[in-house]
Amino acid sequence: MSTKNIVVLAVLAVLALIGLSSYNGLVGADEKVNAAWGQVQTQYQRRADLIPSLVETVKGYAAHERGTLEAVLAARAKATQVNVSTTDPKSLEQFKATQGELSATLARLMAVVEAYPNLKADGNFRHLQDELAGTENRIAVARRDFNDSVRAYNTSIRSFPGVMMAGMIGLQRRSFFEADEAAAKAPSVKF
Amino acid sequence: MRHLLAALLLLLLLSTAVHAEIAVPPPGLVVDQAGVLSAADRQDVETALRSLREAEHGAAMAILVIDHVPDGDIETYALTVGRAWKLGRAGVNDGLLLVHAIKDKRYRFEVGPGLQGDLPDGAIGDIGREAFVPKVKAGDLRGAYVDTVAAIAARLKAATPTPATADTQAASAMDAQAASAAGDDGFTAFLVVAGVIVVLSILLRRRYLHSGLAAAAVSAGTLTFYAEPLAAIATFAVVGGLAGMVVTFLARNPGVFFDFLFNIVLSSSSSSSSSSGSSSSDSSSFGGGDFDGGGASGSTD
Repeated sequence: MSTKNIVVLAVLAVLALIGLSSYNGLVGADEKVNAAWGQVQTQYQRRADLIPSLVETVKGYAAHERGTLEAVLAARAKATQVNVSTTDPKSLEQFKATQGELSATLARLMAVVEAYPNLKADGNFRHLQDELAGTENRIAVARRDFNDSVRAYNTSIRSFPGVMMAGMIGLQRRSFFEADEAAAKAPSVKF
Repeated sequence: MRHLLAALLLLLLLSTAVHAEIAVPPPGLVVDQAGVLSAADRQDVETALRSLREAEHGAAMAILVIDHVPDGDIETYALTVGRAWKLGRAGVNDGLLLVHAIKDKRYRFEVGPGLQGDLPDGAIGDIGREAFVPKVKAGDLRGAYVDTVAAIAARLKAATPTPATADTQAASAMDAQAASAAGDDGFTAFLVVAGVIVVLSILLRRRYLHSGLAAAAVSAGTLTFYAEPLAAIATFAVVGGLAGMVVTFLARNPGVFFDFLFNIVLSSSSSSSSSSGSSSSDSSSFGGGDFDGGGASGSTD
């Protein structure tokens, strides 16, 4: 066997290995983005699931706050209706907007209940408050993890050798999920 | 040579920039950076933590005491530390971290997803308010930590077998691990087959070369097919077409190739530094658990 053939063979083998590992890397990064997005949706759903019992509990002590409570329920209904897909920027915008609105109405509700000491002393309400705070934090974490995975994915499809493989198998840039920070942050009201 | 030096310098700069984000203290059962616990107090707390760890329904818990949260909110800080320490077992995620910022008068329980079924946010919130805060207010830090650990142990012991949510979370985490392991296996198989064929082709005479190549493509493709069907198709495509593409591509964008080499150096250096970091620590107690941001925070004001 001539030297030339050995060289050709070796080059081909190396290229095949680079191509395959690049392919595996891209698919892995893509799957990570999908998994991270699943987590984002799970946590938003978790928050939506908390709201009915939260509203019921508040109603028992603060029936006057009917307007605020109804705003929360309406925002929840709107947010849970959105059919979202990460590859469809328009649905992502809509998801972001409706969830942001729900965050804002929830923040208003939690500010209003500060005026009801009996409600705040209720053990059940305190647990719900803990769950809500924990879930808001889970949402923030899931969002950050999702954006990190998108950043890693976008970098890998734009740098060598992924950029060639990505073109071949049709992988596109994914967009970040930046929620409205102002709406998500609950106002800290102290009495 | 000069390029290589420049790359190494840049690498050094980059790696320090990444590590400067949030400083994570070295892991331990009780890490008292504020220096508020006497040696005896600390031992009592560590004993409590160890028995919680060894209990049948236990938790891999650690306590970090600091003066101030270095930067940002305590939630982000606790999550960063918990993930860096990898508290809890991989796939089970039964880690628990208490961060107590004494001078900020803030605390945070970061609860691993695997514990959240038995220890929901409301329960850990109660433990914080009822077992932890009163003792801290009374100035009894040893008591605060020991009572908190005891309350968590009691709660976990009393809890009914883990509800479905935690189970499915742990299961999905394990599935993900299994899936990535399968992908690795496929790749390893391909590597082995390709290596064997290359060696055989070299050893054999020239007239076997073409059949050797074909055999390499076919067996590598078949083997990877079982692990990952798309990878097999990619293997064929790659062997056939990549050579020409690479040459034209590199001719047009030489800089990208440099980046690629740079990334290889970067990833190998970062992985070696992280492994040396964990080997110096108490590795037996820190498994590979993850956190999702669940838990409870509060004020000791």
